[in-house]
Amino acid sequence: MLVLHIDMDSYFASIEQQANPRLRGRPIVVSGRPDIHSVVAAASREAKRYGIRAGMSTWEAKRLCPGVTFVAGNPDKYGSMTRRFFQILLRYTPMVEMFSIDEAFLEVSQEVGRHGGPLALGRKIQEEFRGALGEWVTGSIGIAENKMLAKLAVEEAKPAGIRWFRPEEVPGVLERTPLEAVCGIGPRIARRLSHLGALKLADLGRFPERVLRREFGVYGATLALWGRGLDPTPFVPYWQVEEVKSVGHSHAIPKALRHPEGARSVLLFLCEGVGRRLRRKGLSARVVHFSLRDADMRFCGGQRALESPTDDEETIFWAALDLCEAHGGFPDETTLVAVRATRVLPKEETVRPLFLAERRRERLAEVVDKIRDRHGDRAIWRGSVFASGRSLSQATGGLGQEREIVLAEKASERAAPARSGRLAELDPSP
Amino acid sequence: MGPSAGEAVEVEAFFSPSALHPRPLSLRWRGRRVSVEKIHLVHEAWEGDSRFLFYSLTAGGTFLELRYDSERARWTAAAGSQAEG
Repeated sequence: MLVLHIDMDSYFASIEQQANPRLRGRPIVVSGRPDIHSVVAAASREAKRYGIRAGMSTWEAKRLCPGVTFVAGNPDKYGSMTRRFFQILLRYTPMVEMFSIDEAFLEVSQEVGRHGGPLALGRKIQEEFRGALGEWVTGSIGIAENKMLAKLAVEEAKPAGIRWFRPEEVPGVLERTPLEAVCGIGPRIARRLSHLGALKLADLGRFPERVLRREFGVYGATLALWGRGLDPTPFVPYWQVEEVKSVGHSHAIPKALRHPEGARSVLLFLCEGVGRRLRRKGLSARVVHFSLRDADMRFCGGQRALESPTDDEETIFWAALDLCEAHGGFPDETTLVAVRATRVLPKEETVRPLFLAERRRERLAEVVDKIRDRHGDRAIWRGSVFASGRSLSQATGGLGQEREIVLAEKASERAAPARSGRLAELDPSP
Repeated sequence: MGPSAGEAVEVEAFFSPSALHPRPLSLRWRGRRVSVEKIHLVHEAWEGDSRFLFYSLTAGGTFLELRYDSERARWTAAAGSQAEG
């Protein structure tokens, strides 16, 4: 197998620089609305030189680089560009796995011969990107025998380069790669492994598999394979539709809404989103999960099975609120709220509402969905979430406004038990 | 000085069946006509089922963002990239 990993460089920031020539060559940060406190969604290459990184507060970014320019994020723009680069990739192979909005894997074992080898293929793709996306939006390409190694290779290709790990180079790569560099090994796992004496990827390969299995369960087997440069993660092309396992949203709450009433209205706003997505997919959920994070970054939450499956946001909201009350209610300051509906099944397999009030609510939801489909999501608001919904949109510029837990779930399934990145470290859900 | 956000702009554009979107060639607003020098980026956005195209371009030496309402075939100046130092 030969895998290309395409990772767009400083994606959102590069797109903004492509769109506006005045921003080129300058340190810029894509964030929520520039006049309020927000977080860095993306930093340009120039901003990264000052140490600015995604996830940092805009206040911190300004401290590191007082001359930084803040640009409000525009998800439509980034989505549009992603669709364009996805179309380019499809011209080379149908074996394209979209990993995130700015990353994709291509399985090109059959195609490289026609294009003059892996490096020539990579250069062709980069050339097409330049023509279709603009000279400022570049992608780096990592090439290797599997996804794990290709993702490591791309880090050595950045920015705008190509790096191919040939089979004979792999032992050296494993010897020099720190464990945290592997997508799927978070800081906590890396710490546990360091206590066992493993610091580099090759160290995992030297452990007997049973030791890792004893320590980490099934995930230990994956770690053992990674240590030998192998990757059990399946390649999932975009057309292989995965079954939806859950639908959820979470949101970091801006300062103005951290009081209990504000957090409650954010919860309702998120439940509306969950209900709408369940209805759009024709699903109902049997279990509701709720979690919150307080000002000390502590999580609490729980889950509850519903009496009957539902796609009704109010039912989901009241179940989540009950769970919240069971944990002492919202604290003085809530910094994040998450709600997730799981154990989903097709709605047509569920019993229709018996009572008139429930049927009315169901019809009302259908009408509201129709209005939003026709005129956009902001065309109609529930009075009690109007202020919080607007405030959330302004704080994030629509970026990361609703973390699609379902996507994270899919990613985590692909990355085996190694739930990749920050979410795995933060997500407290059982 | 370009048109202000929301202001209607008359646009001479080339519609090609093989292109993904129309290509503005020149703009006219407040009686002034300027040629489009470079289109930097085009992206689309949806509001419900209405599709809009946004053009980031330079015309007459000025950076502009135009919005094209494909349903009503109407061009207006968009808010543009808002930036502050």
